[in-house]
Amino acid sequence: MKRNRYIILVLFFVCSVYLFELYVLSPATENNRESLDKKYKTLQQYEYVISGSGTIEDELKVLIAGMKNIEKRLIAEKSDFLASARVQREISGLAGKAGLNIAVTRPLNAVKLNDYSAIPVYFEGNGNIKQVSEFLKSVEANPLILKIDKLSLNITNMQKPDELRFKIQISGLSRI
Amino acid sequence: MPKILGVNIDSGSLHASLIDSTFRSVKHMKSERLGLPENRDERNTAMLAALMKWQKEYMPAGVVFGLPLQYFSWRTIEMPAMKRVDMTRALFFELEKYLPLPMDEYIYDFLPTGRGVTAPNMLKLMVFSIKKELLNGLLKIAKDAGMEILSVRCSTTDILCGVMDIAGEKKLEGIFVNSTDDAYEIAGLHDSRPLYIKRVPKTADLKDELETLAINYPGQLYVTGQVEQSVTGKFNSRKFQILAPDLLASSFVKKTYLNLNFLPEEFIKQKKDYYPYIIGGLAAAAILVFILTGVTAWYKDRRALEELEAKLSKLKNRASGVIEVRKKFELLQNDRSVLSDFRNKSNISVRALNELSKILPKDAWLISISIDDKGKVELEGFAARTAELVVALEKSKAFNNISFSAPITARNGEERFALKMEVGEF
Repeated sequence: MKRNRYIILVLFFVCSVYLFELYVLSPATENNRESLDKKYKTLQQYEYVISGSGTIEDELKVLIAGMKNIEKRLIAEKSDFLASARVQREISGLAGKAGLNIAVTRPLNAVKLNDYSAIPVYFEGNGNIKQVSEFLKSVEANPLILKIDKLSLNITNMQKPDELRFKIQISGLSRI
Repeated sequence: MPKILGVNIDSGSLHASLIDSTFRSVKHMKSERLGLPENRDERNTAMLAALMKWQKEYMPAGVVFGLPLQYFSWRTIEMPAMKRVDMTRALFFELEKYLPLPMDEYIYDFLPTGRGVTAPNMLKLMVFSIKKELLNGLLKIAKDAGMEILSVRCSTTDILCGVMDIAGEKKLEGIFVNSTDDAYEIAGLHDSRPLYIKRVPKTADLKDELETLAINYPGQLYVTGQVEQSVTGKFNSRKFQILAPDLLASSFVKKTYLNLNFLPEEFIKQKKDYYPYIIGGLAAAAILVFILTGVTAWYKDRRALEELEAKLSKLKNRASGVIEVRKKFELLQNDRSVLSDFRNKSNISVRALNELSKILPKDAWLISISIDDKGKVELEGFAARTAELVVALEKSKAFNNISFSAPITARNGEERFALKMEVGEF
């Protein structure tokens, strides 16, 4: 009777050990290994990132410096409306200097480009080719970055070929 | 059990040998022969003195006694086949028929010698018995000498075993003769088993005895001890020089083929049965190894994981700073690409106009031009030969995909054209 009890106890112990191994230890080991694998990959990524940190920081400094130089030439006005007014003022000034006659000015909707807004303004007017050329040169040389989106030149009166009708859409860039 | 003393007690002498036994291998150390007086008390005193001397000088772990056939009675009987333990019990009752004193007065042991003839399941046994009184006297001497008694044996059968070992024959067939102090001990052998045993006094004619026996047990004559050449010369004989006490001790250690032990039960040390403990221990060890393997694997992985996590947490702060910087860098790169794109496209119209003014032939002039920031250009104008204009435009790398947007119309020697194209490389 006592011997049977011992045998049952031993069997119970062996079964418990086996079940513990099967349902507790093995899954825990498996989880550990999965975590190890995942974390090792993360560690490698961190090490890779850290190893390149010096270069990135240097490149960032250069980039920031370059960006600062460019951003000086953006429209500083805070709203799109004010920015549009600034573009109109600039273009009118340049056209006036070139001797062009602007008949129509039409501000267009701003277009979002990442952290920037392109502020387009449409102009229509007339002048001769020299005046147009002067105007375009001054647009290119302007301290503000201005982009000519569309340009159209037409001779409306064939009897007066020097007279050109121009339609031009120019955008300035402002930081949002 | 390193040292064992083997003592062969003959009628007129005591021959003792000390052996060193380790893991059932036996090494002879020393032997000594001592003459024994005929008077019983003197004889016992001499034996006690000899054993005490051995005990004092060599401290053997125990003593194995060997007695010649003269102390035993023996007979061949048939018994049904059964286990050795059961056979020993059965013999207790069976031997009552053959022995003069009550069975309690004897110690007995047996050798199976072959199949019985009375029934198919019967076994032939050679049963040896010795009086307890005689044994007790011997054991008392050993006790008084301070020795532990390991075994009491029949020296004749142990000597026969020694002969079997060194004869180099698979099965001994014939007659075995052992010469003691005052008698010849003769055994008829078949299949290495002693089927017939007789003790012949030295005064009797050995030759006649052997000739009679040779009829029933043909084969060789195996001789140990002093036997006259005139007797052995008549037979195909082999002589063996054997140290009887050495054989007694080594027979006890090695558990020989003819193993007889006449030590009373009260002197037999009960051997502890270690088998269940060994099995249990091995099973426990197997379970332990099973658990330990799993636990070790888990522990190692866990430890590695903890080390990795510690390393990660150290690197995380540094890395997160770098990752922030990298993100910032990527955002700034995106912004810069927007700015670069914006700047690059800012003067497409001016450059296109500039190129056109260089390419256009002198006899060509434009009445309309439109350019957008995607590089699409549309021209309208007059030329003496539009084809020349097209060739000039094609030659220039500044424009691609040149095509007519309207048919060419000619009037007054001039052609009116409408072209469209895309700005290429400047």
